[in-house]
Amino acid sequence: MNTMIFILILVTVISTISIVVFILLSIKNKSYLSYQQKLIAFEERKKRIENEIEKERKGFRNDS
Amino acid sequence: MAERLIKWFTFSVGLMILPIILSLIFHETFKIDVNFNCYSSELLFIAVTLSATSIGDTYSLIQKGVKGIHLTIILGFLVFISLICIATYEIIDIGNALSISINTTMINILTFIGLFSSLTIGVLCQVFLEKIEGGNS
Repeated sequence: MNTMIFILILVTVISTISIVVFILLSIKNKSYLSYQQKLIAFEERKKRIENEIEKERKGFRNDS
Repeated sequence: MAERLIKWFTFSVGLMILPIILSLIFHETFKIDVNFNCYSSELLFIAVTLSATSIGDTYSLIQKGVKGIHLTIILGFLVFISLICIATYEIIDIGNALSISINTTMINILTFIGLFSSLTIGVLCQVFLEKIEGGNS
């Protein structure tokens, strides 16, 4: 049991250090910019769909 | 950036750590010895909750179609650290139930490392997500 706990400690420490380095390097290399573009595209698509729905709703009200 | 981190820290860490602070105050008031083992379950619960909060934030971004290797790795590690903390909790629980001798110092170290990892990755995850969402607002 104690060996298993020791292995868990080792695995956790190594993986934490590697993920911290990975995230810090990602921030330094501005890797988030591509995600930012995807999010902006999503928001624009959402806004466009909302506008289309609103336009259709207004058209429906005018018809009735 | 700072606003998001303060909000995350207040609602996730601040409120979760409140019972421990209260307990420490009572221990100090009545002059009772403080033992780390008494708080290991609470600390593991905090670690799992911190990971779960960041998992939720990352998942909501992925749902918007913002996918990529970085977010997948962060999400994977958050799930991994949650599982480590859950496993630690189970080791303590099952060890007591089956009367298996477990090195308490090792368990305490694992608990502390789990909490520290969860806190560190939680902060870095919030910074990374803020970098993504910050440019959009």
